[in-house]
Amino acid sequence: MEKTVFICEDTLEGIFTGIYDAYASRIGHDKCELAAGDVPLEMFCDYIQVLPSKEKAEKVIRTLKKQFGEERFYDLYYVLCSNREDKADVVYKTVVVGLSNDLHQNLLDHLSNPYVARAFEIRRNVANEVMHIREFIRFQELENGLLLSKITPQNNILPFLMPHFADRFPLENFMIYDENRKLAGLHQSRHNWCLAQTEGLNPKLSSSRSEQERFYGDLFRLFCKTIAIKPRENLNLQRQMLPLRFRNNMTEFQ
Amino acid sequence: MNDLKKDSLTVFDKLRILTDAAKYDVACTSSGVERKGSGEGIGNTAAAGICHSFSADGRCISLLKILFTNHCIYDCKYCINRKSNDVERTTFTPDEICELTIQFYRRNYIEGLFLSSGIIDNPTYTMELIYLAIWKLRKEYRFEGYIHVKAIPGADPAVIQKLGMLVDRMSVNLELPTAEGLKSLAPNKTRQTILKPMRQIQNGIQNSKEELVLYKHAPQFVPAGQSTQMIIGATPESDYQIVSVAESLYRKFGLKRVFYSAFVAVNEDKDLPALPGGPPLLREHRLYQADFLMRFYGFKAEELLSEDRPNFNVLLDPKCDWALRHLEYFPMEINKVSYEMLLRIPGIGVKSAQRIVKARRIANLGFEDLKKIGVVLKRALYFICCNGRMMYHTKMEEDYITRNLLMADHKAPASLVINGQEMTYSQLSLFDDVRFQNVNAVQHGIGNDRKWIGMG
Repeated sequence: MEKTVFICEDTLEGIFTGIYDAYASRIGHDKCELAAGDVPLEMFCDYIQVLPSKEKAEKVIRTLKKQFGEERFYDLYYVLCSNREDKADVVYKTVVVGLSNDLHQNLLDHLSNPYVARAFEIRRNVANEVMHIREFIRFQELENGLLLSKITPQNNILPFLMPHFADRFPLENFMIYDENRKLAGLHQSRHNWCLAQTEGLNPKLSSSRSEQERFYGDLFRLFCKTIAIKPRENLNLQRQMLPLRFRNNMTEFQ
Repeated sequence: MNDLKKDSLTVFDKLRILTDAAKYDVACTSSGVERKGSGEGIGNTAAAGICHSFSADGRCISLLKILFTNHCIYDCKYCINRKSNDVERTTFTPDEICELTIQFYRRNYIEGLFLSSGIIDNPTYTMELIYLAIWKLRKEYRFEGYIHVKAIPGADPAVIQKLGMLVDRMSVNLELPTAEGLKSLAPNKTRQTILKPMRQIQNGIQNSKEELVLYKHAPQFVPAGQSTQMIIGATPESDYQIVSVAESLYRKFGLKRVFYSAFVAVNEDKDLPALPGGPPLLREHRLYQADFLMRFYGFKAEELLSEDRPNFNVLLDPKCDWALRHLEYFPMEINKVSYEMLLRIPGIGVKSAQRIVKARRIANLGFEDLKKIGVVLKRALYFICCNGRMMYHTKMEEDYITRNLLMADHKAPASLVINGQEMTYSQLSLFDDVRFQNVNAVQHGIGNDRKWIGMG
């Protein structure tokens, strides 16, 4: 069977426009597929390039929020921030399943459906990474008082991290920098946060630690070492709770 | 009090000494209260709690866990800070505590402060000093993150009351599971003086909740609830006694958590047991499992243990153990049985059970679906059927299932021979000499907020 692939830009706007176009094409959902970003081309497929449209995307967002509720919409948002190649199609098909079965706010409960189960799995993966990074992220104070943190997440999680830290540190100037995407989350004291696509981080900026920085880093390393109870030592358990891949950016493991 | 002034140690040394002195306290959770920042200070709290690191013993680091001072007028035999011990002593100033908390917090090292203390002069005076430090942290440093303090038994209720208005969680240590144990090891403490502040805090929380109904922005007393802890293995109580104590604490004192702390021999004393195998970690682990079964799975203490079977099984977790003794309930039909019954199935945790209930409303579930839902099938398969069918042909027989469960966990020896006689697994649990001292199995997270729901 010949299928039609809608290729969209890997942004919220791009993918939501893709969903709009796929519906509007009336080709039939079983013959349509959505792909985000660069996709390997296959034989016997029609490819349609989707032009991101703010207007179409907003229509889709409105419909999703109305049909499934705010919370489920954010669940789908989590899925779209993942780095999984099939995420656009999974969200598209999940929406189709949800609308045709009147699932409303129970959208992600329908786990015996393979698309819903996949959306559920991806959402959980992204949410877990947000949870982990929220715990293990470390800030360093620069000479000018700015708090800087560098992270290397698998998924695009800055949109979920920034609200947490903006609420936590309302009076701080801070920046969380996603090295994999060269994306910076910025927060200025008493202002809203924002995201900025960068060309890379100025190395001079990130090397100018404040005088106190070393002192508090040493104190925390001392604390972590002292708090462990020797007769209970269990490095396997430590590794299970705090996998090695997170430790590169953590003060106490440097 | 002169001690307080002539302290010339650096912050570095003080942190080392007062962390070392605080580390045997197990509670390290930052859960129980969700609070947004006010926008005028620093900090917020998350209901689920946030761990920030894990130390070499695998315990979570969530709070800056320190003592205010390790000077102490008491002489509890199990405690590293007992009066008769010759250890370095020091005291933090309130500003040192505030600076450490804020600077650690800004760097996202910690979720807040856990402050306990040795007793200087008397309980009320010590509690006053702690109050001043916490007041400073909240009001001058505008810290809005999580604070857990110890309430010291014997302190003036008025101080506990005003301190409770500033902190998120308070705890009073039960120390030992029974009054007799306490008498033998903590000569300066009595069960009565410990339960008194516990009751006061319980009432305070209750009143505060009632006020909150009337006035939405009424300041809250200990909003994250109170917890306690007891030392396991320093005194001869059975597991059954311990879970019964925990159960009544939950019921009668409305506690949020009871923590269990495997006894670590830091002092030599003729009244303390020798533990050549190290701290009783597996026993502690079983107690935590039972604790979760009582709090989230609807189990009662007497369902798990009894006077005749006073201790937990070494090889099986309490839930599997219960299921194997009640095979008459199994196999259960996943698409039909109630949520409460789902929770009783080994391999199904709280989250899986909730997902099953929601998913089966929309469509019938099969074994493949259960896998996606997160059910641990290698354990559950002996106890469930989907649409009238079990996954494999299974004998509903205690010994057969036990053997298979243990093999799935790689815990089963090829054959069990004790005193030259081949044993069945059900006989095994009757043997006292194969008890905890000899088993050092891999432990799971303790005293954490995280990763506990997975216990099936």
